[in-house]
Amino acid sequence: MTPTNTSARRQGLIRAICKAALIISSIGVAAVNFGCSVRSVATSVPSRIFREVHGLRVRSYQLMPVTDDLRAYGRVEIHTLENLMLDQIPEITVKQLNTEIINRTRSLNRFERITQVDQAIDSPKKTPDQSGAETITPGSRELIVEGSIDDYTPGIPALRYIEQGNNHAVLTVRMRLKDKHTARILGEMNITVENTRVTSNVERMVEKAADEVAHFVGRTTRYNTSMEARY
Amino acid sequence: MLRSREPFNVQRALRLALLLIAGLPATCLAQSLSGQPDRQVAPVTNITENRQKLENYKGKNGVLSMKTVILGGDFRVTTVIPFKGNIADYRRLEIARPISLVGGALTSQVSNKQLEKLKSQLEEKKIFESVTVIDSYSGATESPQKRTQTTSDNVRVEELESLDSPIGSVTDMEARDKQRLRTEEEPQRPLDLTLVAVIEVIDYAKGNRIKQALPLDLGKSILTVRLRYYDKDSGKEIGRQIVSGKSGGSSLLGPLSPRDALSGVADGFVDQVTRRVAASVR
Repeated sequence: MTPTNTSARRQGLIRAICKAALIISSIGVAAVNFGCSVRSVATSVPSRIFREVHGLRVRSYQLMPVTDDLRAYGRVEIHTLENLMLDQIPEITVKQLNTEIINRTRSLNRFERITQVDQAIDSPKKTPDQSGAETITPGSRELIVEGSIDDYTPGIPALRYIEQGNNHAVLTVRMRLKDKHTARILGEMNITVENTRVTSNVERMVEKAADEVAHFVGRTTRYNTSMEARY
Repeated sequence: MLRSREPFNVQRALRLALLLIAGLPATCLAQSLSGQPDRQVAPVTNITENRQKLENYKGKNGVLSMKTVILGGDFRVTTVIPFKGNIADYRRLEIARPISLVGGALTSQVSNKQLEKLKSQLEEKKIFESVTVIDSYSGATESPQKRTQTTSDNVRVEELESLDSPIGSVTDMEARDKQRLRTEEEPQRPLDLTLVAVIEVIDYAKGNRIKQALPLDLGKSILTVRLRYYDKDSGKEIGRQIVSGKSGGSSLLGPLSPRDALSGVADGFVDQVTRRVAASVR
């Protein structure tokens, strides 16, 4: 046996060992990855499904409970929301929110007259069904619905896919009910709509917020029991 | 021999004791005289040094980082009104007690806990001479006393220096010259302003760690605050931010993580203030 033959054999053996080590390690890595992904799928699928169903959540806090009987209010004046988020919320979203609040309050069929007031101009913008009677009769008391946009973020949809980080979209509005003649605050509520759905968007969140505002107005003016008693 | 030496030893001990008694008050007096100005100067220099150290400070990523992946307690910051002015001029910080815009959901216990956390974290940073808690602050009603006083002084000096002012005596002129020299020689000290942070809680959910353990995305701990920064002297709002902290048990430690929404908000607030200070140093 010549020395060149033995060195060639050694080199071949080393190569074979390296190949085997590489194959074994790659199989190991693949197995670990597979295991992890299977585990993550197994654990994240239920939460993902649950989030898609219940991802649009509402948290509301009563700042001032409604204790008066608001059934006497037959008219409502809805003011555009004060934007405390300035240019952090798109103009189109603010417009959509104000319009949705008007539309959803109208769809309650609870008030004989609904007026929209633009706070920037501070004069009634739209007055359908104006009766012209200025004397205060039981059904003609006017309610003011006003409020502010306290928080808004569209969230990060890409992070919602991987379920990491502070990714959810949020819209917080604070609503006040006032008597137009006395300017007395009748009730105040903070409504936060949070969207953690992957498939949902900001528009849906805005619609939900407007819906909650309309419900708040509708609930308080439909019954004569206090809000505290109903919760 | 031993008996004869005893009185000498006693005498020596007595002398030493007398020397000590006489020496101690002197050293104490010396310390009190020399120590007092040191104590006054030390925090100012320390703060300047600490602020200089922040030159390479890189802000935290609260939305997604290793810390939030492992421990949770992530936060987001939305700057509504960017900081106006130079925050390096603000050497004192006052934090007003949180105003609840979530009704009874925010208990005084949680409010105090949050306040303590903010105060302790900012004190640890040592970038302000003092961090104090005040009960409330309303920017519009604060009277700008300090500034009025300085402007009135300036007006008086300008009146005296004007060409229309009557010619004074030699002593008056000498006194004015000395005063002018003094003002020229005085090193330019940084302004000593106070920054006031007003906290408004706009969203709060305590959370539930048992619910967090379920794979149903429930029981999240959430805290969202609106921070309004005011210049105490002028009463003007110089910045506004929304800081929101969240902990939902989705981190590696899950519901066992010690961090909650309060930790996220505290981190976010301290990071934002530190960023501004670091930027002013640069």
